[in-house]
Amino acid sequence: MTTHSDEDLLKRIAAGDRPAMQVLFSRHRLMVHRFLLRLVRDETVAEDAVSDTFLDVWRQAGDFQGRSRVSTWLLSIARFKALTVLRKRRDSGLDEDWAAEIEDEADTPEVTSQKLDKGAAIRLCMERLSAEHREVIDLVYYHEASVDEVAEIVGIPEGTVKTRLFHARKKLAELLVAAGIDRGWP
Amino acid sequence: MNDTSMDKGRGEIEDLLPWYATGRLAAADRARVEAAIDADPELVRRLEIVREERAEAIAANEALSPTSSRAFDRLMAAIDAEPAPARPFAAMKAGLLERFGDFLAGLAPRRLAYAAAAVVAVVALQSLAIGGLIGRGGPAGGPMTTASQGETAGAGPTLLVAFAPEARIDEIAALLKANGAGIAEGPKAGGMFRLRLVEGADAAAVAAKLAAEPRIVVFAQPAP
Repeated sequence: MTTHSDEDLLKRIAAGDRPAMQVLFSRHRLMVHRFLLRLVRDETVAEDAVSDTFLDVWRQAGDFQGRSRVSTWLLSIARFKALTVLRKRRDSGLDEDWAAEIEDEADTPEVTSQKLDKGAAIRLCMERLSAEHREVIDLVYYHEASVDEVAEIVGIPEGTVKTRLFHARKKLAELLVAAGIDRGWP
Repeated sequence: MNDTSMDKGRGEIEDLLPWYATGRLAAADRARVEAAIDADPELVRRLEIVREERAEAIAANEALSPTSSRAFDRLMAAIDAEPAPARPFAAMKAGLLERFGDFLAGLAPRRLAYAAAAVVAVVALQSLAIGGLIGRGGPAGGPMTTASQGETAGAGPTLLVAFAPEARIDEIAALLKANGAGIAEGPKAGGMFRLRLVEGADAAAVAAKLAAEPRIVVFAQPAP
């Protein structure tokens, strides 16, 4: 059977082809869901944002210019949805400003007390990072976005992408040291 | 090279290591990183740290729960609520989609609706290709129609089925023929097809036989 490229599917979606929408959804929903869930940290909110993201795809498929990968475009839309949710939370007093959120070092000693293995400790310390730092780590390490793709998704210059990832990794290393795990870097 | 310039050069390369580890560097940068790694054992050690972080970032993401069907259902409901687009292709298929939506919402029992939702994403791609089987002859050589032509003529019972994405069209055709079934309608929204059986056929038994071929059929149930 022919496997339709993402770009082919978007052309079909732009023409109102619902099965093509379903294929694109099934192909990318997990990636989009995980990206959103790591940002909003609420299962129901993340699922709503997933459907909102793909609804935008349904509405705007004809606007896709093909200058980036479809997955990059999807993550850009998803990020906007997440920020909208988080802004509403902040405005309603339920959450602080996402961009201003800072890393949480308060619970770091629990890494030591729980005697976690190194991998688990790294994962726990990643959770303690600020949202901005978690995001860039996920985009690069998990979603395998290139420098220019991260720049497009996050809306920052490419140089800032490199700087942000460096600082995210440096903060991660500091949290690990505070938890008793020194990897000798930076 | 003095220590300061060496640190500066190492820093520039180090900034690229995460993308080197994921294979997302341009060829020129990749070559630059590889040359630097060959000449600097400390960069090799730092690359291992990057790979360790990457492995844990992947593990953290993979540990997240999968999406439920709720996001898909919500999306489809939102698309249903959208104003009809002025698109030639959409206009061509509108009758089919609307009729199927009414059919499924009005007739399907809850169990069927949930089952259909579970397989809907899997079978969507298939639905783009199987439409060619319609009109090639129904059960016992009877005629078939597309959904846009309305209910298929004939008194035989009907099934709702979805085919595995990897199933070949000739395999599907052979399986349907062997079971006296023909495609009466489809693809429906969600990639479902309605099969018409020969008159007097046991729909449940045929559904079971089709479902016993999971490489070809991922869902089969007598239509309500």
